[in-house]
Amino acid sequence: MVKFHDLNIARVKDAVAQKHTLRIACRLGYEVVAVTTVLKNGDELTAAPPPIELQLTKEEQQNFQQLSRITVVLSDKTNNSYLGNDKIKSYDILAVQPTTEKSFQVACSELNVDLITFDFSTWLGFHLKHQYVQTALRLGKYFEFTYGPAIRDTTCRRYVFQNTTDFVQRKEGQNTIISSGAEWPTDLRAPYDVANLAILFGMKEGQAKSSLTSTPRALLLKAATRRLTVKSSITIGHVTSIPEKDKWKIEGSKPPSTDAGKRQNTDDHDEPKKKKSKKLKSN
Amino acid sequence: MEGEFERIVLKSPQYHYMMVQLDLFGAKANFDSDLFKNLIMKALKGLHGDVGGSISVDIIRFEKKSLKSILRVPSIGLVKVWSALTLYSSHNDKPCHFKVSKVSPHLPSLSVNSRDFTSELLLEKV
Repeated sequence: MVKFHDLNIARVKDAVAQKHTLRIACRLGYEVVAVTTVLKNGDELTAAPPPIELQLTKEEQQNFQQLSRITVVLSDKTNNSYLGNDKIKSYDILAVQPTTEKSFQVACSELNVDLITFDFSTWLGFHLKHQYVQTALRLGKYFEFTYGPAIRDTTCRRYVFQNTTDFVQRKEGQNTIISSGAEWPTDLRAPYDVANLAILFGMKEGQAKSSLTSTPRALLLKAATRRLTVKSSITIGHVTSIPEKDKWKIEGSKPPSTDAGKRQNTDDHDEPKKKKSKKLKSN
Repeated sequence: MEGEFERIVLKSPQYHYMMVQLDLFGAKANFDSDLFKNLIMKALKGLHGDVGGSISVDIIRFEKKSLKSILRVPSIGLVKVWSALTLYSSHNDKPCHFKVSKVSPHLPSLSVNSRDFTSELLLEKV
């Protein structure tokens, strides 16, 4: 069965409330949840905090995954040079929230980010140009909108509907994820409720559901390639970090002095193993 | 055996049935079915205006204790009713939340959960 994702739950100072929100998200049927740290201009950047301990039952624990996410608020004056550093890489997802047209253009084209998000609960202040959006889509970036503000307040709701319907119509709903942006447990809604709400925003039924399931999953894989790989093709790790079941992959790369004696005595069934490991190395 | 089971496929059903529970987050309130219906119509009018208010929602069953209820909604208005329930968040300035647990065009299917079926169970029945 597909997993439901909610990749934007706000990090709040009150630890009890935070736990409660995450537990409610788990009960509602979300299986992958990201806790968001918002970085505004002038805030100090810290490494990703560890996942929050929740007292869940064993069964719930098995199906529940907690991730960390950072949302950087961009303005014209922001210095973007730190977006590739190690502290940022310690977060699972990197999102940016442009506040001006220029920063939106930069976020769509130049910056290496996973997700572009907006504050749809007020007037945006700039126009989302089709050309920039297309550039971002071509580069495999994702867009997000949050339904949390629509639940909180009727004035916000008007803006959320206005902005999202406009946005969805333009882009026809591709590469879009929907998340809650919840600060309190009252802002959370069950996945199927949200999918139905997305139909009201102008998405098709299939798109609405995939924006909660397969699209966020694709986003997480893209984020992993940004964080952990060199040019999206090579990963480097220490030999000791390899799990037991994958140990055979490095058997072929042992030093020749210790391996030479064994090689003469190898049985036929060892042959394919060696071939496999050679293949992997060439990849 | 053939007579016992009948397969019904509805391509454009007239009604959908929803199983809904009102969660008041611990607050106490004395509800009856009229008040519950009034709340739903308020939610509908709040989001969709007069057009939403014109959808005829029927309450088939209402449990006073658990605030659980089964609604009958015309299929054309399902998205509107569902979204109105989703976005309804406060009753008398206190937070509340409609939990939609099941939606189906067949009333009997609300009594079971198809996710709990196992292949053995199905085989036994057939």
